[in-house]
Amino acid sequence: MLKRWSWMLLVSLSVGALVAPAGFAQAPIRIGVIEPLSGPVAASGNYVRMGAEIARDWINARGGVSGRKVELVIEDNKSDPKEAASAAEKLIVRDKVPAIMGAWGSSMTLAAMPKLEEYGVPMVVETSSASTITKRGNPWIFRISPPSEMEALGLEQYLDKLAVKRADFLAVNTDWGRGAVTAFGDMLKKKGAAVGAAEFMDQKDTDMNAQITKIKGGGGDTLFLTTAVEQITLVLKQSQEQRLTRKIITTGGSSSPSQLIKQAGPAAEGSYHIVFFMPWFPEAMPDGKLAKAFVDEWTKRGHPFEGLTEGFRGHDGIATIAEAVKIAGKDEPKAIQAALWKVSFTGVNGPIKFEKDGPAGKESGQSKPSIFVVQIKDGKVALPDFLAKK
Amino acid sequence: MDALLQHLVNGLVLGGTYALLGIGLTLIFGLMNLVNFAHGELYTLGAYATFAALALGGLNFFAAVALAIALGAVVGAACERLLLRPLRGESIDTTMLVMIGLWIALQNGELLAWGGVAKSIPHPFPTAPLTLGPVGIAPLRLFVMATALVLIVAAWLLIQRTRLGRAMRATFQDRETAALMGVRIDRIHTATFAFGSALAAAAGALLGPIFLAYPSMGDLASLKAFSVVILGGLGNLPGATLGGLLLGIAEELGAGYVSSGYRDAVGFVIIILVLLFRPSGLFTRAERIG
Amino acid sequence: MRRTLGALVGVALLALPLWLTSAYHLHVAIMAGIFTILALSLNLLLGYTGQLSLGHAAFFGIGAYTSALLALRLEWPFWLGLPAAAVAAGLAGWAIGRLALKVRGAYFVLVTISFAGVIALVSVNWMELTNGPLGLPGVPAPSLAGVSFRTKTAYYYLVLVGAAGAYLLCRRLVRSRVGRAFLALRENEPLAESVGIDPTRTLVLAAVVSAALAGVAGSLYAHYTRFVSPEVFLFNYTVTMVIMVVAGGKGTLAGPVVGALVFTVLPEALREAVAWQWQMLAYGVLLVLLVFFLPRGIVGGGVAVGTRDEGPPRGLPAEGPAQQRRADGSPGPALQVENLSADFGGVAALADVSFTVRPGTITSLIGPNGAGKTTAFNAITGFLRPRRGRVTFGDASLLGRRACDIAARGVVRTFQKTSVFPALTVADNVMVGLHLAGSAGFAAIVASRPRVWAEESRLRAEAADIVEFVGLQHRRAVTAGSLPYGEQRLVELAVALAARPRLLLLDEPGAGMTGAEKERLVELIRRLREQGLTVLLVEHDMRLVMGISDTVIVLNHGRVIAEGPPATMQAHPDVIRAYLGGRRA
Repeated sequence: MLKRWSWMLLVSLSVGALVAPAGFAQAPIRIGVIEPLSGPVAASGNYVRMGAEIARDWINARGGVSGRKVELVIEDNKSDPKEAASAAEKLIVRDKVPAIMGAWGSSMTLAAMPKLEEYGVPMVVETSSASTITKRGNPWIFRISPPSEMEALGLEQYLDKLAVKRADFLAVNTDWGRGAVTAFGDMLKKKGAAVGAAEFMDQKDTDMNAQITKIKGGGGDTLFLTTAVEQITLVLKQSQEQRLTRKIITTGGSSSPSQLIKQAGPAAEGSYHIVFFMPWFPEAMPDGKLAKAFVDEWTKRGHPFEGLTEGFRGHDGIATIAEAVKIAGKDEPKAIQAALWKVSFTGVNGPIKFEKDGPAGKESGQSKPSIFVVQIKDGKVALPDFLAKK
Repeated sequence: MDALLQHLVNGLVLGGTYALLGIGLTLIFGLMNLVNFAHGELYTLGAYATFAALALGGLNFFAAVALAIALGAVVGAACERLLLRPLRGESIDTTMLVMIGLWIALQNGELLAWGGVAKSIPHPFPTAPLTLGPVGIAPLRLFVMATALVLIVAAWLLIQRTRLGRAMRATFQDRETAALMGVRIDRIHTATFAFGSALAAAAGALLGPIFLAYPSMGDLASLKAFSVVILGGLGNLPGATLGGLLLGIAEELGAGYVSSGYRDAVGFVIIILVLLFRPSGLFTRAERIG
Repeated sequence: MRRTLGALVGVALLALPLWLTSAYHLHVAIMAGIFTILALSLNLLLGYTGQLSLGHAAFFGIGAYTSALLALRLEWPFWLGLPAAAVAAGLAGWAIGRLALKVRGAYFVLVTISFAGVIALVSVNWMELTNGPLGLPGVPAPSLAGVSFRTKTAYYYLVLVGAAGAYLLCRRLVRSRVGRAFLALRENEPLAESVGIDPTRTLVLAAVVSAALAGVAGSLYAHYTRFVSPEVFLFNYTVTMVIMVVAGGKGTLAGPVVGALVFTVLPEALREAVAWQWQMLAYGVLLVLLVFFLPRGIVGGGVAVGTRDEGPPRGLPAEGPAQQRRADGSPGPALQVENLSADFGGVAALADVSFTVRPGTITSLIGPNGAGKTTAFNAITGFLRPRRGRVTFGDASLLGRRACDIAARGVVRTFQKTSVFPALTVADNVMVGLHLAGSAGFAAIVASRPRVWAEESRLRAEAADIVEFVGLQHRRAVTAGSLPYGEQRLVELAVALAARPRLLLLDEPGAGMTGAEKERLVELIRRLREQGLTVLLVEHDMRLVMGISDTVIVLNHGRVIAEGPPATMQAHPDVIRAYLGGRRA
C-alpha cells in the first residue's frame, strides 16, 4: 500500500513540476544559454557561462538594453546531443526566450539546430568549429567562433616563420579534432608542406604513449595537437617522457596556455598555441580597453585565470545578442534574426560582423574572428619571436 | 625494434595500473556478487583526497597517498554499511542500480565541490625520464609500478595468510557453511568492500599525479577494471594482475600498430574472444578467490 | 476492473495532445514513448530471460543509424527504414544471443558492454559510412501520402502506435508458451533443459526480439530528432534504460512503462525545479532513495506470469496423464548403457558402467554416497559429457546430444536437489513442463492466431490433470518457491510428468519426505508403471527401494558391483560390504 502511494507521489511530483507555470516575466530580456555544465567538458562549459554572466552584469549596469534588464536562462546539455535538443526545446517553448547562445560542442549544436528552424529562434554559436554548422542552410545560425578552415587560414601567414616542413597530427576523435586535421592538412598541402601521420585519441583517453611513439618514429618536425586542455597536458608530459623534440602547435583555441604552464610545467616549454584571446597582454587585442576590463572583472570575481581563453566566448556571444536586440528594438525572435545581420561592433575577441555562409537563400551568418598565435617561453606566455616586434 | 620495446614498456606500466584497479573490483565482484559501478568513483576519490591533502593539508606526498588509501577504506565501509547491507537479500539488479545512483551522486558531488577543471597533483619525483637503452620511463611511473606491485603482494598475503583472508575465502566458496562455522558474514562484507575500495583509492592516488584529477576520471577506470576482472576470472587475484598487464600491453600494441582510433576496441575484441573460448576467464578453471 | 483501467489509460493517452498544450510537454511525451519501447525491449532480456545485457544502446544506435543512412543515402521512405532498422538490430541481437550460449552472468554482462563498445568505436571511426563524429544531420521526417509527420502532434501519435505495438507484442509473448520458456530459463535453467526447452533457441529468440524492438525505437528517435551521432551509443543511454527497467519493476509488463515515464519526466522536471548545478546530483540521490524504498521497483514484487486461472479443471482424470498420451498404452523402448566412463579431475566417477533398464519396469540405482549415481544420471540425460561409453534408448543413441534433445526423445529426469521454478505458480510450473506438447511459435503468438489460444486452453487442462494426479490441486495457484519441501518435490515430479516421458529418471525423489508422503510417492510411481512408463530410480530409503523395484542395480566407486531382483541384492555380500564397510569380524 505504501509502495503504491510512494510511486504515485513521485509521478505526481514530477508531472506537477513540469506542468507548473514557468513563472514568466514581461520586463527582462531573457537569453537562453546551452552549455555542457556537467560531464567531461564541464570546465569549458562553465567558463563560457562565467563569461556570459559578466556580459549580462555589464549590460545591466549600463542600464540594460533599451532600459530592460538582461536575464540569462542557463541549461546544461550534459555533453549529450539529445539533451542539447531537449534544452533548446525547453528554452524556446517553456521559457520563451527570443534568442539562444550555445551549444559548445559541434554535435550538440547540430542537434539543437532543427529546433531553431522548427520554432524560428536564432542562436549565436560561440565555440563549435564544424564547418557544416554554417553550411547546412539554417538561417537561424550565427557563429562568432571560427570554423577549422578559418583557423587554418589564420595560421597560413606564419607557416614559413614557423618553419613547418613536415607535420603530423594528433587529434581528439570528435568532429572538432577530425575537422582540424582535415582543414590544417589541406592548408599545409596548399602551401607545399608535407603531411605525415594523423593519429587520434578518444576523448577519455589518458595514455597517448602509443600514438606518440608512432609519431616519434615518423620523422616530422611539427606536431599539430587538437584536443581539450587536459589531454594536451597529458600529451605534453608524455611527449617529454618519450623525448619527442619537435615543435608542437595546438589548435582550437581551448588550449589555455596558462593552465598548461601550471600543470605540464617544463613539458610545455616552447609550444605554440592558436588562441582567440590573449589575456596575458590584453592591450594587444583589437579593443585593448575592453579586453583589459574583461580580464580585470574576471579576476575580481575569483574565476581561474586559465578560463579566460574560453570565457570570453560567453561574453561575446551575449554581447552580440544584446546588440541585436538593441538594433531590433524588441526581443522578438524574427526581429532579432534580421538585426543580427546588421550587427557590427567589437567584442573581446575583435570585430563581430556576420557574412553570408552556406546555400543561397538560406544562409547562416559567420563572423570572421581574430586569430592569434602565442608561445610558452621561459614558463610564461609570450608572443612568438616573429610577432614580438608588434 | 626500438619502437616495439618502448611500446612494451609503456604497456607494462599501463597494465600495472589496470591490475591495481582490477584486483579491488575482483574481490568485491567475486565475493559480494555486486556489479559495482561506483568503483571508479573510489578511484576518483583517491585522487582528489591526495590533492586535498597536499594542497590544503600541506602533507608530504607519501603521507597524502597513505591518507587517501585510508579514506577509501573508510568510505567503502560506510557505503557497505549504509547502502548495501540493508539491501542484502535483493537481486543483483537492485544492488547494481543503487551503485549506479551512488556513481551519479558521487561524480556530480565532486563536480560541485571541485569544479570541472582538472587538478594537477604535485609530486616529488624529477620529471626527466630515466633511460634504459632505447627506452624511456619517468621516475614517477616507476614509483607507481613499484607501489602497485607492493600493494598487490600485500593483498595476496592478506587473502592467503591472515584469518580475515581465510574467512573471506570461505565466505566466497560457501556462505552458509562459513556462517555456521562462526564467520561474521556482515563483517566480511564490510571488510571486503572497504578493502576493494581502498585499493581503488590507491590506484587513484597513484595515478592522479600522472594523469590529473577530474570528476569523470573514474568512468574509464571502471570499465577497464571490469575488463580486467573478467579476463582474470572472478575473485582471482593473480588472474586480475596478469589480466591487467595483458590488457595494457594489448592496448598499447594495438594503438601502436593497428590504429589509434580503434585503441579501445582492441581491449573489447580481446575480451569477446577470450570469453568465447575460455568463458571463465583466461586464468581460471573454476571460480575461486585468492 | 483491469479492463476499465486499461481503457481509461488508453483514452487518456489518445487525448494527450489535447490537454498537453505545450509543445515542450509533447516533446517529453514523445521521448517517453520512445524510451518505453526501449525499456520494454530491455525488459525482455533482463526481466524475463534474466540476462543482464549492458550493451543495449548498441541495438538502439544500430537501428537509428540504419534508418538514418537508408533515408539519407538511398532515399528510402521511413516506412521501409523502420523495418530495416529492426532487421539490422535483430541481426546484432542474434550475434549476442549466440554469444550468450557460451557465457552467463557477470561474463555475459561484460561481453555485451564490449560489443557495444566495439560498435560505438566503429561508428566513430568508419567515417565513410557513418560520417564519424560529425554525425548525420538532416534525417527527414516520415511522410505518408504527402502528409509529413513533422509536427509534434503527428509524431506523438506515431510513437504512441509504436509503443502500444511494442507493449502488445511483449504482452502476447510473455503470456505464451515462449514467454514461459523465457521465465523457465531465468528461474532454473537445468530444469528447463530437462523438459526439452532449448536454451540456445530461446535465448537467441529473446535477444533477437529484444534487439529488433530497440532498433525500432532507434529509428523513431532518428526521424524525430533528425540528427544521429555516435553519442547514441553512449553508455549513459544503456544506464538510463537499465534504471527504467529495474526501478520501474523488471519482469513485469507495467514496470518498464512506468519506469520510462518516470525517468523521462524526472530529469526534465529537475531542469525546472533545481538549478543546473544540483540537477545531476539530485538525480543520483533520488535514484538511491528510490532503490532503497522500492527495491523491487515501482511496480514491484512480481513476476507477471502468463496463465490466468481458468477455474476448476474440466473433467476428472480417472487415470493419470500418461493415459492421454499413448493410444496403444505400450511401454517405450529399453535403455541400454554400455561402458560408461566419466572423470572429475583425477577421480573416476564412473568406470565402465553397463546396465539395461527394461521397458515398463521400475529399476533402482543404489549405492553409497559418491558411488556415481547422480553422475550416471547426468551422463545419460546430457548434463555431463562422459569420457566414453554408449547410451541408447531404443535405437537412438543419446550420448553427445544436448539435454533438451534427450528430453524431447522422452527421457526426462528430476534433480537431486529440489528443483522447481520458484517464482512461478504450481500450475505454471507444470505448463512449462508441457513446453514440448505445444507448438505455438513466435509468429503465431504475436499474431494472436486462434489456434494459439486453443492450444493454451488444451495445455492448461492437461496441466490441471497432472497437478491433480500428484495431489496438489489445492496448491494450483501458489508460488512453487513458497511451498513446503515435500510438496515442492511433488511439483518437481509433476513437471517431469508433463514432459511426457517414456523413461523417467527420478533422483532421490523421496529425500526429506515424511513417511506418509513417501507412501503417496510409492503409490504414484506404481500407477505410472501401470500405465507403461519406465522408471529408473535413485534412492537411499532401502525399504522404499526394495518394496517397489523390479530390478536393483548397485554402484560403488563408479562400478556396477551387482544387479538383480531386490531380494537377491539384499543378501549379496558385495552389496553389504559396500554399505557397511569391508572388515568383518
